[in-house]
Amino acid sequence: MGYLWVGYVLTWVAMVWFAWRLEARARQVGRRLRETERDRADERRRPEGDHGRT
Amino acid sequence: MTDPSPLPRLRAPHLVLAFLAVVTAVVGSAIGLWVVPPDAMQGDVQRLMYLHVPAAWLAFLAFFVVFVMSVLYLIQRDPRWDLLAASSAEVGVLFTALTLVLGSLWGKPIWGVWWTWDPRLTTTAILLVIYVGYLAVRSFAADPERAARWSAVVGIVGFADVPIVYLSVTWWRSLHQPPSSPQSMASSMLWTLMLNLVAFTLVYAYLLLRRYQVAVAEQELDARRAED
Repeated sequence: MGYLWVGYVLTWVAMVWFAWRLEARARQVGRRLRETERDRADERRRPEGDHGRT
Repeated sequence: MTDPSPLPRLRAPHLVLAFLAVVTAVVGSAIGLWVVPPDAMQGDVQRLMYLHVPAAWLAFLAFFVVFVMSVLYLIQRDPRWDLLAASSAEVGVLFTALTLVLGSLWGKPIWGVWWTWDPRLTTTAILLVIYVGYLAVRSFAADPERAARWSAVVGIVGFADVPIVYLSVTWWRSLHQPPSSPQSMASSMLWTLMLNLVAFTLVYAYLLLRRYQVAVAEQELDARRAED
């Protein structure tokens, strides 16, 4: 019986882990895309000739 | 407030797919564990077949998708085919690893060993190595176009192992049992197997689509970084 339960639990854990990891990756890439979007918007708003001066 | 991210969020059809995948997988596991009677010879451990066999079939399907997408990529050079192939390969590796582990868990009580260099087991292990190699090729090549081209070749050549795995039990003397037919199975066992096959197919479809969405977004991010 032990082998059976290990097999079922392992299958579920593997699938959930894969999906979870995928969602974490999706959130991460989504965040980075938003950051690049924001940086580009900042760049467009910056006055002519002001290229990154602080 | 609207989300400016180009990463596609989980939309209604995708959520429905995820819901159906979870429901069928839960029902399939429950029936496999508690409803269908145990095998007369093998006892309860035979219930592992309701996961082992669908995992193996879905691994074959995943690698068939890699093969088709790789051919399409080499013909059309459309990066979408490459991303679909890579997404399917990742899910296929998951299912192949599960196939081997579940087979090993079944083999220990039935055959008395965790592993033996049987033709079916050996060719399946080679299949896993091929597609791990496919993913490694993609990560090693610095140029995305070159990575796509090389991995497409691996995806096409590597698929040759799939029919070898399937036919290994008839070509060589094997400890592994030959493919079962519907006539050789009790109908309750057959339906449980089919239900779990549907569940695994839905899980595969969900993971493939979501992985593809992430891959497209990652490619977009790389393109923006290259522009900036």
